Amino acid sequence: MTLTRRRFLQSTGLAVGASAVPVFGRVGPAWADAEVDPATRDRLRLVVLALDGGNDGLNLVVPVEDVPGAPRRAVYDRVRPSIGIPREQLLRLDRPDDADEQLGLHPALTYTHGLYQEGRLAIVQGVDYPDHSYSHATSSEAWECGCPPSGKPSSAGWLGRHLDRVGVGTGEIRGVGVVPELPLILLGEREKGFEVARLPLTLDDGNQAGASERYATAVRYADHEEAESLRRLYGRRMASSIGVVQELADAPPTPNVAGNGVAPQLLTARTMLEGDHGTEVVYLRQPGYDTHEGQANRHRDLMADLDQAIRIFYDGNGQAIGPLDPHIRDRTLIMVTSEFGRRIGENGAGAVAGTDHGAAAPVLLFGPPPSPDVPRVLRGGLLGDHPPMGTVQAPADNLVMTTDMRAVYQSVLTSWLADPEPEYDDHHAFGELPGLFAEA
Amino acid sequence: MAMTPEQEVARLLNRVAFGATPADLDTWAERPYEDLVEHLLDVPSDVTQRQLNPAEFRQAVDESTTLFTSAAAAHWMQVMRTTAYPLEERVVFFWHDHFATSGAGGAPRYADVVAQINTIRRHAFGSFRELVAAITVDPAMLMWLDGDVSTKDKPNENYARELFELFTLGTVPQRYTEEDVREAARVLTGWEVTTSLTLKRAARFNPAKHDTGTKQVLGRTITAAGDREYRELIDVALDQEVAPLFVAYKLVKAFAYTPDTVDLVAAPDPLVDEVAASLRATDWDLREAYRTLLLSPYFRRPDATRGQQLVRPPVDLVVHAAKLFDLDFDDFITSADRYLADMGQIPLAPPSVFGWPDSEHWLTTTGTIARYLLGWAVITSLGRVTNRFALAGHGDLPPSGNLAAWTRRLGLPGLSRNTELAVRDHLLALAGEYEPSIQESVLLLLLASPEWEVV
Repeated sequence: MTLTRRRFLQSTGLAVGASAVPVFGRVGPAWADAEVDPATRDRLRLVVLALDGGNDGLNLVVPVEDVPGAPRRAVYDRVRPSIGIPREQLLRLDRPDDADEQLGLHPALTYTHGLYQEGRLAIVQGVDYPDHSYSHATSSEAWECGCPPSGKPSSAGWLGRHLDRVGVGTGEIRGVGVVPELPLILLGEREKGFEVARLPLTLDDGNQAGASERYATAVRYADHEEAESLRRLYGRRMASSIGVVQELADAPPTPNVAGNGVAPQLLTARTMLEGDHGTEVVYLRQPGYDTHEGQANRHRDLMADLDQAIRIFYDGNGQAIGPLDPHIRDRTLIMVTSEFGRRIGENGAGAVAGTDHGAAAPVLLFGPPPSPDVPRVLRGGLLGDHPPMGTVQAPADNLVMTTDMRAVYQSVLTSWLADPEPEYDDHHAFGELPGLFAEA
Repeated sequence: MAMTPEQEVARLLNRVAFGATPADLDTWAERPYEDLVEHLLDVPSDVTQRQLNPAEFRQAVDESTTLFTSAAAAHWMQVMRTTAYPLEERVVFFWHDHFATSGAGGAPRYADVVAQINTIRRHAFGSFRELVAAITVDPAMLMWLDGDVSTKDKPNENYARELFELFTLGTVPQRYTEEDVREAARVLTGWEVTTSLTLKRAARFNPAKHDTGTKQVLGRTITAAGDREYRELIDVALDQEVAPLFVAYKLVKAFAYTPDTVDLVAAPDPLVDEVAASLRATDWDLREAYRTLLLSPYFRRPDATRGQQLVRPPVDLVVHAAKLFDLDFDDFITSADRYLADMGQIPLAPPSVFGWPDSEHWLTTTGTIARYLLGWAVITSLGRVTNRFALAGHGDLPPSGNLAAWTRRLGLPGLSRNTELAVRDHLLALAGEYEPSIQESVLLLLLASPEWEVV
């Protein structure tokens, strides 16, 4: 299968928030005209990029050599004869504190490696959650919810709850998903985020006779008299969609970028961050990572695509797309996650070799260079422990968790986004990650 | 609040038959609801004449006029519009979503997925057991979920997992383990897809690549049985307590409403329970399951709350619009193409094996705007046909102020007070304008109204 395995909000179809009347209630014709507080320009921001399908973390951060007590490279060579990457091709993670780990990046990640050498890339190893699920839908939901699977569908996500805690100002598009449907990660009890799949969004009814009278009528569908009705929900989505389109009417269009990859969505994210919409958190996905077969070429192309997207996000393309506004760059963190990693051993042989669903994998965080005006900075380098891989005689099946996903989330919420309250009541149980951020 | 017979007819056809036309209302409003249900279910078992023929559609639809919709998909929508058996076409489309296999990626190709649709049609009014069996060794499915590269040395878990997770058991509650998935993958090893010189595909069992050991799946033992072994796996899956509830749940969610439940076994929705009981009692007969669904008092309840409603899928809306205005898809698809893409549903190209969204999850920003604008596809297509001001050529359109007549003209059960008030105020705002222009505005607003979008 070559297509995306992106899953919709509930693959089981059970209604999210079935008891809650959906909230687009703050949105109406007046919303689009509201002034966004200029202070939002100084907010620290987060972009979450989910590698959709289950990224093979072991071929993203790769053992180069064995280290004492951990014959990682020997095991790697033994169980990945086809998809294993030769050591001389790997981009060494050789900053002084990291060199002893003998790890390297996938060869396609050249720009990413450059950021690593500048100290702007943090790699958290072995990230997962307890009671790991190997199902795309269940595990994606766990990562977006920020909670291990409970047997019941989740109705909210960790960034949605963050938006609830910090509050969203009138007229702000504070949380946005550059995805075709509103993602769980941005759903809170009150706040829901917005989905802006691409720019421009147009009401190309615009030049037709009667258009503005029709908009005015259509937004009235939000007042449908059935209180608990999908018809009212539809009416309110109509009103908010028209509001969002009007709010973003002057936003520059998503630039054309050669190739099909995630760069256009990441650039749309950039447009939202650079605009005056109060955008603080952005979520997007790069599909295609479910490499059950044919992994070598497919994964390489995905890595190249990811690297190019990060490059264009920061530096532009030297033509129509300029570099990211430094004011935004200095305040933006990009976190790259995936719903799970993949098995240590490959499946199949030769060109068709691939991997089945796995467990723990690294999380990448891209940060800015230090700036005098910004109170915090990301500290680059390797964090956490590489999960054990067993021995050549007895290779491990899967990489197990050495860092709880919730520790990463809590660290980002508290230390980067300055969320005033903890997301997790028991957050000390899985700790904050020491050293992920530093006061500038 | 009870519904009139005409309202029930409109709602039923809008739910399960790509929409009601005024002619449908004329024919069925005076007859018992049960008669209409039996009429819809009266689908001949011999499907030969109704199979999609790939050779036909390339002639019918000029694919160069569309960016997103394939010729095969446009041809299928033409069939949806014109078939004498709309319930059949609608349930075949439902099973297409359930087994969500896409031809957009090239492997399988669209022609392979069309062949899968024909396989679905053979069983859509027969046995679910036979349907799942046929899909398991369908060439398009084998290519889609890597069944064709799964061997005893390297069993591929993709189909095994989705067989449980998406096709037969679901995850709420999850009654299968990772070990069951691995063992099921062993059962499914050894299948291949062959391609003839004319690009016709076939599934072939290769005993040399099949794992002949004993497997333990869902508490049962499966011993070597060659090319019949997958049948035993399906039997074991369908024997699970949750299986009929899960299949019933999918049907209810597609045609009635999204049940408000968290555990299908512990607390099933009453309509889900009824349909599951039917599947159990008839050894998975699908025609009986549809009959149980459509005749159930829970299905027929008046729909004032979200608990009994669903947001109509894009294809239903586009086909309904085509029926209402006699629009041939070889032309209409040119206008509707981008709206289908923005609304998020092109037949034969589901976004992933998880299929298309449900109900309110269709209502993304882009999707909602496309629904708002869909009426333009109709007006543009009519304009091309009449070559002048589009609606002026349509003699049977009601005067702009007669909303009751407009409601019936669009096959709707009714308008809410709020919608009616909003549209009437709009008419006041446009008073004095050219009447066909006002009619156009009314059409656009009603084809964007909550009553059109939510059934």
